[in-house]
Amino acid sequence: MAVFLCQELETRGFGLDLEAIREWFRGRVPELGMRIEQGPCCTSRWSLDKALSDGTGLVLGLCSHAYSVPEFEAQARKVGLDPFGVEVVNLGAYCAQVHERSQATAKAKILLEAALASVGASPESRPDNIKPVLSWDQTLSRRALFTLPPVRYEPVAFIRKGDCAFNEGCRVCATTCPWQALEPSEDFMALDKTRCTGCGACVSACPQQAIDLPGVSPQQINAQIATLLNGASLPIRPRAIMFVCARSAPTLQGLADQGFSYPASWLPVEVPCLGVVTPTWLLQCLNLGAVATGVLPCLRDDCRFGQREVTKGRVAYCREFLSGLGASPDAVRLLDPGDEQALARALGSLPEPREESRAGRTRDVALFAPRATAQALLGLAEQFAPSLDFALTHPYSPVGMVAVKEGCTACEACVRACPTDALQMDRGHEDVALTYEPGICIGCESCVPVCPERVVHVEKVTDLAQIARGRRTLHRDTEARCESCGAPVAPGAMLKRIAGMLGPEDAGTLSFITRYCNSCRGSLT
Amino acid sequence: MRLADLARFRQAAYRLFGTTLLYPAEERLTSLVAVARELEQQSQSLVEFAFFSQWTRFLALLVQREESGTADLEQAYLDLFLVHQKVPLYESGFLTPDNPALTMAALDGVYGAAGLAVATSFKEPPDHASVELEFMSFLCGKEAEAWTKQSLKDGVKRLEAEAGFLGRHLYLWFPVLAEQVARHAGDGFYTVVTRAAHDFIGHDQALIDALLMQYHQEASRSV
Repeated sequence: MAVFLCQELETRGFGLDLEAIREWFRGRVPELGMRIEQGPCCTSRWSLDKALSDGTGLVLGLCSHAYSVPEFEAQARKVGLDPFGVEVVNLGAYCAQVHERSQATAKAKILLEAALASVGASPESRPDNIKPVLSWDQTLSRRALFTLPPVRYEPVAFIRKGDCAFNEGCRVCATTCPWQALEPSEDFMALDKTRCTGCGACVSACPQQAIDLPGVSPQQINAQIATLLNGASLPIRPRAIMFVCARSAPTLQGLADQGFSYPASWLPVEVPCLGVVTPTWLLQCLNLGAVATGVLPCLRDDCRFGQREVTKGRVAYCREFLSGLGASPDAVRLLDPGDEQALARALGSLPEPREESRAGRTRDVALFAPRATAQALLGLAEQFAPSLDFALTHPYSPVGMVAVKEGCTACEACVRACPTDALQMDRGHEDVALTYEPGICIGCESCVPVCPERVVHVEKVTDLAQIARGRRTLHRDTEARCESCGAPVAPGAMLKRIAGMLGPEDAGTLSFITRYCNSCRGSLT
Repeated sequence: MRLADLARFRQAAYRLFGTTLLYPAEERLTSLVAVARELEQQSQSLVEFAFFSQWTRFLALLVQREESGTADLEQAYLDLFLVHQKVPLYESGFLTPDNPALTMAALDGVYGAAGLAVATSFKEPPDHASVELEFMSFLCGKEAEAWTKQSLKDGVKRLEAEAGFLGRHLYLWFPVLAEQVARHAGDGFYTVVTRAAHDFIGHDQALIDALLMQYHQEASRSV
């Protein structure tokens, strides 16, 4: 792996101490290649040469995003690099122009180290996880119709079939996608690339973490956040995470260009779209030591996610949750890219760091539901709440609460539909028990429509006491045993249900069904 | 790049991939090397395409074969596709393993509709990877003719035929073939070949979809 730094960063704004950065990395990662020269942000004569990379990944620290992306991608391909395996960090806007030199240099080290971690965890881009986009002119001449317009590539979701729970009935990604790009086919979840906008909503919704999207694949995000929060022991404390829609990144550049400053604590994480950022991400960052988290959405009409109200709702949930715990709701912020002054003000202050900060203590960082959700909720409760006696009903709650009313026949349809195994059926010798673990329930409601008795209900509730309690029994029943071989026949309620359907005139049949298991019934008839 | 030139390149690429997946007899390998060398010289103009890295790697590998003979390739081919049949080189092997005739009949129908039939002297069945790749080469050739004649209607029709064939046949199973070859052959010759072909076909399908989407939008605008 290698790092390229634009030499103009030395003098841009307050400047970065590039030699100090080089020395620091030399001490930490001796095998890392590093070069300091004018970058593509500052000269059109820049070219990527083979010596800069061994093909395993590259991080560019540039003054700005002002460079030709297609040209850069072509250069990367020429030297055998996967363009989606290259991270570009705008050290000009994020560091040199907004913080004094020593703070800016320290922050640059953290951002570069996190970018390296992301590149290291990046899945290779394949024809399956990118799509060509043709840049046609608005008005096409007849001649243009016979010419291929410039091609650029955009990442799209890719489902790893081996990890996907489609065959177990999971459809969470399809119901999450705002563009209906995912549709169940005969034996797998099919992605219509032309519809996929690469918003990433499915990536963070997938309970199996079976979906990759170059840039925000689960391994990449986990590695990046872990490094930002727990990496290098540098004088950037406290730390705050700002998830930035890639299309809104120019807003931060604008802020820097106008001379606004804000605490170096804010560490930006560029994502293709905020559709991927869930309440679990926001709260888990706080749980792992961040003093605040923020989201900076785009304002474009062609937002990849197309559901800004969902992003707002997710932030609102986090703020209400924190309030309920007695913590400052201001620790989670929805930032406004439309008003630079307001944005600078919003970034200007940070909540007081907690005395018992977890920063630097947790190495095992996971941001993805279902496990990370309970970890985040209970972790924050442990830090802020005097007791676990707190429940919040909210449409954007990342966990749900399943209830089973009277009439359950223990048929297991809900268990088979549950994509996270929150619902399970425990079979003892005498009885059966439908059990439920609220901490891993994502509230997807897959269990509701499959229940033939219509007795399963899901509420979007975050109930800390229930989550802390762990797995519990929702329904228990006796299990009838075969008089011939002792094998299970059916739960008692199921047999009652069958009796109700058959009526008294079929008493003989009912008795037969009740007393013998499937295979013995076959041999006895 | 003119669409006619792109279609001609794709025609050559499909043919090269198809021929590389036939038994690696010495004479065949010699001509493959010659074609690869020629395409290698023209490939720099393809650097904007995402398949470029794998494509150039594949060509370089073929060119390197010039001096090394065919013995190891023959052994690898026999081991993977023939004697031990670790990986089937046929569509039916993946999609209708219990009823290969079903796939073969469907393909005969597709080829027949295009005015083609597999020559009786050709030993492989109609669902062999080489035959399907060669058929795509044929369709690309027809597409190139349409663009050269500046017939938009015919060009779009050809693109639709290509999209249909990739979606219903070749690209339904080729990714699994490439994955299985990689599993059995490590980083050997056929892994590089099938990986490059997979990247190329996947890219082609997405590019054709993007082109068609644009043409259909354009058509609905002019209506």
